[in-house]
Amino acid sequence: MFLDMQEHPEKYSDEQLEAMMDELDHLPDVDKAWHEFEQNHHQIAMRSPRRWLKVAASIIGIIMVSGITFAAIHIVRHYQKPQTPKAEQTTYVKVPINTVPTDITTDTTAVVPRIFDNVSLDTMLNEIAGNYHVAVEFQREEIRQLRFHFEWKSSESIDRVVERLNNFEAVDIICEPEKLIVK
Amino acid sequence: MERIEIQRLFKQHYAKMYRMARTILYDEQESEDVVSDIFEDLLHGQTILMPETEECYLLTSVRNRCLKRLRHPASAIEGSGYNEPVDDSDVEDERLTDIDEFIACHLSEQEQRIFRLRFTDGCCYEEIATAEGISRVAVWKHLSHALNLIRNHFNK
Repeated sequence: MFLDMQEHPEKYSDEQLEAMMDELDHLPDVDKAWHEFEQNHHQIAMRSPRRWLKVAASIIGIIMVSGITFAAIHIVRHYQKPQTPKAEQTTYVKVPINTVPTDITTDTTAVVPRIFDNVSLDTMLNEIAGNYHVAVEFQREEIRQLRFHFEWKSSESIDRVVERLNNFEAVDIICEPEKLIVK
Repeated sequence: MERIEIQRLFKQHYAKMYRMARTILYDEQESEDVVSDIFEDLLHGQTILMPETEECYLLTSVRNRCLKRLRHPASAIEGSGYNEPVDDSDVEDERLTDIDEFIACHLSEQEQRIFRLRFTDGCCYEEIATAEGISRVAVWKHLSHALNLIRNHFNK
């Protein structure tokens, strides 16, 4: 009857339509609904901070025990090594004066991430896109004003940045050679 | 997302989300399932919602999931969806965009406002009637007209 009322309202009296609207606008018992949701998703308990503290403490404990065990094994092996007699001959090894390796060509300066905190998608994407020399095209105006918290490392490729942005459910970006299209 | 945040979102937005789902699906259980699925995804996912846009995000999620459900072959309810089976989420998203574009081009300004108030803002019929200065029955008829247009266009 609901669909028929929707498709052919002229077949029904105003009272009937009013009654249907009253039914559709009837607000549910939110507390009861939440209780049912909790029952069905007992994994919510896993999300409590106390539970994660216990997990973190367990992991730290395992790492410490593993580290101590490794150190103990290393010490025991070191003292169990047979003593080798000193060689009669002394071998001279040429040590270069300049001990700094000459094959280092990479810049060791760490890349400081740019943190966007509660920044609109419009502002954030334009800054990011500018770094990669691509344009930005928004296909829906309303999405420009969505705000995000996002950490961007300029050392990442544009494909990787777009992949990370698309993890936001509200965001769907296509990366083309010269522009980003935001759907 | 933490339990306390899920609880806050649930208690603040569940009623409106459920009401919107019922408007599209009518069935109480299906409507509960849709809303529950959205919160479950938030629980297990990494989505971060900003306070000023969280309601819009949640209501849009309800609307889109309900429209997708209407296209599922197992659904016994005809709706404003398509007849072809669901096979690609990108195609689904594209068709939802098509519906938005169709609404912008083919509904009158008043119908667009009423449609948006109901299916984007989650307003009740009384609120829409007050905003537009018309009766609730008139609101119902405008929405019926809009849904029929959408249904007839996309079921060709």
